[in-house]
Amino acid sequence: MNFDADDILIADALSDMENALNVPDLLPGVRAKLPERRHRLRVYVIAALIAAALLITGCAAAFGVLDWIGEQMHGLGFTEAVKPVEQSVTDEGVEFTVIAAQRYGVAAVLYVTARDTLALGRTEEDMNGMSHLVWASQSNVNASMSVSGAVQSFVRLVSYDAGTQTAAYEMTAVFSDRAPDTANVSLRGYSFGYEQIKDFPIKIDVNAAAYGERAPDGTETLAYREGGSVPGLDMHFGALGTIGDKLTVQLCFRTDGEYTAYLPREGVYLLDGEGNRYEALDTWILPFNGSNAGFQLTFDVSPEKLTDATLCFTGDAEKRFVGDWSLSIPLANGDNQRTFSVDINMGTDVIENAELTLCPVGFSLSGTAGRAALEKLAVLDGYVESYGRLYGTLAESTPYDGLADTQKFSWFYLYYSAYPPDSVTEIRLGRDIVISLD
Amino acid sequence: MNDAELERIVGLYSRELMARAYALLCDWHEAEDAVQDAFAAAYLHRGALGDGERAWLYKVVTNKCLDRLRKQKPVSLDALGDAAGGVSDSYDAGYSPKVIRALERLNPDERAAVLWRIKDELDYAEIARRQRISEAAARKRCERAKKRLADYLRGYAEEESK
Repeated sequence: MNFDADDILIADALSDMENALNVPDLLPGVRAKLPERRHRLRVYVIAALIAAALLITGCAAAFGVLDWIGEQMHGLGFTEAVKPVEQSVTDEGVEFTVIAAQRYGVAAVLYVTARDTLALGRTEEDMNGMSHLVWASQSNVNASMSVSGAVQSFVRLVSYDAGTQTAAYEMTAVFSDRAPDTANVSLRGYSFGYEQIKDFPIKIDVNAAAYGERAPDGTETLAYREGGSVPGLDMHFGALGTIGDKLTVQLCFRTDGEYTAYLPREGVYLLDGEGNRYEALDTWILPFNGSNAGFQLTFDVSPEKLTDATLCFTGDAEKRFVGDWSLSIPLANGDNQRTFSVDINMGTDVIENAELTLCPVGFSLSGTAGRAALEKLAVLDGYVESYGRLYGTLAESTPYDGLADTQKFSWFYLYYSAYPPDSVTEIRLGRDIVISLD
Repeated sequence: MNDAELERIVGLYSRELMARAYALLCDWHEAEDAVQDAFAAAYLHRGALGDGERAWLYKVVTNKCLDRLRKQKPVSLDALGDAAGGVSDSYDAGYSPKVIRALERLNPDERAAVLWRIKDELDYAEIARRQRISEAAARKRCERAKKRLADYLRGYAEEESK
């Protein structure tokens, strides 16, 4: 990473601040937050008994959990704004419950919990890896993003209750048009905790990489090669060769394995026999068939110039818990919605007749617009003027590298708290774009 | 995790985790609480943290901080506008944390993004993954936050020099 003057200024200021801190002894405060071990054990036993009861009776406690989520959301009228669902499914002792679900314009917003009913520690504070495994669709339980349905869904942790080992999530699914009246929600697994891999080496056969058979167009020599594997990741060589005479490696891993590999670009590098280090120029994620996927890494060096090469890995291996939790959830219209037809003036670009739907947990924008305008809009945060700054998350649902100059878009800006739509008088996108709702 | 292990990680990581939490929350007492929560979580939910303990603690502290920020009552735009700049929480009357005053003028996502980028040297793809936005949006957010933060810091320096 190259540092410019701003980076250095900020880094120095942060270091100065850290060095000047008069940090108190935090230990007494930490101890005060710890329940007594004996007490914790009793809670776990009770939780397990309650879990057993819930398996028979369904999710009778959903309303209580909804109140808990509402408290975490710190919103105005949250529990009145959402529709309780009370559907749960248990697999492998982990209960997956949809607590509430409703649709707002192009989006469906669901509140779900994952709870380890056996108190085996399989839910955790940092289990944030659900988003890429959770899908919602109009018609098919096994649907993925590629099937007509939700074009994007994402999940964020609302809160975690250590006592009952319950994680509560807010899940937002954005559709290309209005959200359907049923969402088939399916969870195939999630990540909890991880193990770190530090500079794990794998030798590369540079001769095989350099002198493989060329493709008909002469640009690449990639071919399947046996190679080493990274322990714990079930990750192994898929192909080795060159693309444009640059050393290229493909690594495969199972998407349903015990671990999920995550390798940042900086986490993979190549060492040659003289100790020179080469960074990966690019890292591509390759969706293979079935349960396989892979990374493709290209390095700015020709294997013909190397006498020896070692690929080194540094990254996280997220522990994955695999199961099958599927529910078909009715999506009622959320109460308290306001819909407007608005023009979004962006200086030289104007998006006309966009549909803006305000709801208590966010607002959706949809319509048709030019590519240039969408590219500008895609990087802006959303604000609601009457309640101050909101930390909206942009869920972009339409790729803007398509061929058409004009295309449909459907986005949802999610608030971090709930706000009554009838009090909103103005929407801001970024600092400069104002949509008045008078 | 046993008591000795808890004492070790509290002694080892308190300063840097407090700095991270303070930078994210811009509130000393909230930061103290968040860091204590993270240590308590480590004690309650983990065995030996192993080689990844520092990264794990950073992740949990960041989650705790962002969670707290989401629960905060919204502040009016006027209070967060350019006229703002006072630190709501006076950590130490004798110490003026300019960088905190500057960070306070960014929204929490911007704060997290700029810290991950500059302090942790994460790439945009990882920041995008953590904030669930596109890589382009992450890049834009980081650049915008960095420029504003640097401008504020230079402004404070100019004020001091007058």
